[in-house]
Amino acid sequence: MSTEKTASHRQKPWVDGSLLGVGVLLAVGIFAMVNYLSMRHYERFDWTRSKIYTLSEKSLQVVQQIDEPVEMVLVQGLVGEDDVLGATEELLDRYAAANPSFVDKRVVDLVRNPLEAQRLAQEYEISEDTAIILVTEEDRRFVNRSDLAEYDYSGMQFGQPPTMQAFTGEESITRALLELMEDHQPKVVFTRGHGEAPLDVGGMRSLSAARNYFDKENFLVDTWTSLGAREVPKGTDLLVIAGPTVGFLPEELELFSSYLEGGGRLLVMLDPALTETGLPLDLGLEDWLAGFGVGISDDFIIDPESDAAFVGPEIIATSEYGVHPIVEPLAGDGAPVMFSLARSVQGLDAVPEGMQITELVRTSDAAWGETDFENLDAYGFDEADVPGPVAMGVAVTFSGSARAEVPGTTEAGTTEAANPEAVTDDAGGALAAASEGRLVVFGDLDFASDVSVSNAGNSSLLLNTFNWLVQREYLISIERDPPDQTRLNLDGGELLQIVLLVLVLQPGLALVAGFLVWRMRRR
Amino acid sequence: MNGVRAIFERELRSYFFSPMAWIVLAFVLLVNGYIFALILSFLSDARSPGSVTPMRLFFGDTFFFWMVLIFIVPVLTMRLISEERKSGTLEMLMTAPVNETQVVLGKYFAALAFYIFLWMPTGIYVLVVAQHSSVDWGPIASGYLGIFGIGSVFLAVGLLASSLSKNQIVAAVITFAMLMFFFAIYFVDSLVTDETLKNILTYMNLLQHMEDFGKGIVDTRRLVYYLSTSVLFLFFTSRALAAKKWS
Repeated sequence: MSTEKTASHRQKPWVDGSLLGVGVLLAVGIFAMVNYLSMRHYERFDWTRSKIYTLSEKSLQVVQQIDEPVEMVLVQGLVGEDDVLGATEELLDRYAAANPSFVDKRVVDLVRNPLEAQRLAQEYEISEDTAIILVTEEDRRFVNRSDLAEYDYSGMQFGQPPTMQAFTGEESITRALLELMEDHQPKVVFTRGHGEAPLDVGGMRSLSAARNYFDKENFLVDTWTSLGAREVPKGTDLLVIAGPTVGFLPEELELFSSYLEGGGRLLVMLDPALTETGLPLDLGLEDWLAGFGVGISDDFIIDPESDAAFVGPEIIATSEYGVHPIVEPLAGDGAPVMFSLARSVQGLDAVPEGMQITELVRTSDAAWGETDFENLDAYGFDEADVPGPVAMGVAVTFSGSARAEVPGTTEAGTTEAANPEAVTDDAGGALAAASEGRLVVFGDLDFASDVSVSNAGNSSLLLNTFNWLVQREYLISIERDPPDQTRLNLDGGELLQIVLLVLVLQPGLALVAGFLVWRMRRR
Repeated sequence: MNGVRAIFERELRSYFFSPMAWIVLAFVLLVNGYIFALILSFLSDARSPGSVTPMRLFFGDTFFFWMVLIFIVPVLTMRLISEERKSGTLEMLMTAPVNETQVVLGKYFAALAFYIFLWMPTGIYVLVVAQHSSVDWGPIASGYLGIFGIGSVFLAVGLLASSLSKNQIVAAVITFAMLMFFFAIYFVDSLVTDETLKNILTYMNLLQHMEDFGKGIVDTRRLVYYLSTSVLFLFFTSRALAAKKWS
């Protein structure tokens, strides 16, 4: 009996030890499995107020549309790029987290991985400036270091290095992804020859700032002189008439009509235009647009209850929107847009069959369209004016037989088109286009100009309009506000007070408490 | 649970009635206060970037932050089990109607509670910033979440080290060495080129974690890592105690 007890007593540590070993291995195995699953299935939450570590809605929409494997290769290893590099790597993590099924991130260090770097250089012909390579099975795009940040070089004359002013990585990467994913780059053509707003030169009426937005959204921008032309340039996805100050001829309107008949899209932005004598200028577009059910008044809008502070009533800030995809994100966020010296644009009572008109943005009820241009010093609402609320933009969709009645192609009152073959079922051609025609008219150009496009929700309104017109609804969103800036302005006295609090008072109180505890224990 | 609570209360009382704990608190406040004062004077300079907030710099962006963690954790945990083993009270504790797991959990939660207490006075820094500038509360909350998470891992490591030796100093040194392993990951991560290994090391890189928490980014991978690592080390500790019981 005692032998048995001794034997079992000697065996017990071995048994216990074995069990312990198995238990430890099992625990480590479970630990590894749990963390492996966690690495592959995770969520990132951005707890900042302005969501600066979250991809913008637009970027999110672009990356979530990706349905084929995309690898984002970050090329690192150059000296002096730590701040941009860190931000870029974190940014790529966000893209990968937004679509982990298809988007992957890889980092290649030029210095530590020269073989891999050489392979990249040979396969993709990268340059020294290449920071990110976006690769699919069939295509690739590059984002350069110079695209990732904006630098201030003013200190270089004093021997200082350039300082980073803004990190622009997200815009550049999203644009590159758009280019990679889209089969077709939408072509936007701006008319010329009628005093339209310039695209390349800065200034109050210029659209040069807006052009930067168009570039980032992967639009191809071009210009076209309509006078004397035979047709709208081939491949035009969107035609834009931006702030003309000289009237259009009937021949030009016919070109526009034919273009729309063929499934084209048109954006018109019209400021109140005056002749040299101060009377409203007939641009020739008003009657033509009436054929689409769009009424353009010879007025300028006054809104005494505009939300804009410290400016006159002819500058209108409003968040009154219609129900339409273009303005849906703005309405959802309650974000205002600002129009300056606008004219009323609204749907007419008599809407041609097959056309649907939606008001996009309106003033308050207290506003009106002032028609008296001769007494600008003392204006007030009277019977001749357009009563509020006044619409400042409309969207028109038309399809099927409605295109056959596009005005400008016929004599007034008839329904024949300029090209009769195109409108009959036998001809095919124009009627064969499956997509609906789209037209947007705004009674203001200024909201898109260099002065105002970055104000309020103006850039969102402009880009949403463009994207809706070319049927890129998935890109309709709201531009994000810049992140909050924090700056402390402490003078010497305040700093001293804080130092005394955190370096003397707090630790001192702890030491006193410790001393009291020690005394208590001694007793 | 009663056993866990009883041990928790006992240990917590012994922390607060120990002069050493208050000295540790004074040290923590002195170092953190120094960090905070430095940050404030830096940000009050007109040339400093407006996009970096004081608390973001405070949470893990300085060497002193990690120095505080590496030194206070061994001090908090070194006596938890090793002192009881040396004085013989551990055997008595194990004969009481509590098992090893309850002992470990009770001591662990007490250490964690005192660790949280050590960081609570830094809430005054947030109030100071709020008086002079706008405060984004999200990154503040995530910053403290990161401190809590990393602390929970370190304390579990310290508790294991304490169970491995009867000598408190030895236990503290073992804890210190094990914590340095976590820091070594940061350096090795930047040197490694193999993709799989790099992914694993990045996943475990606490300095990167704290940088994200300080910005306001809360990643579920970090939280899972902290919880699973703490549980793993606590399991090891309870098995170590059980093994001592058999021998």
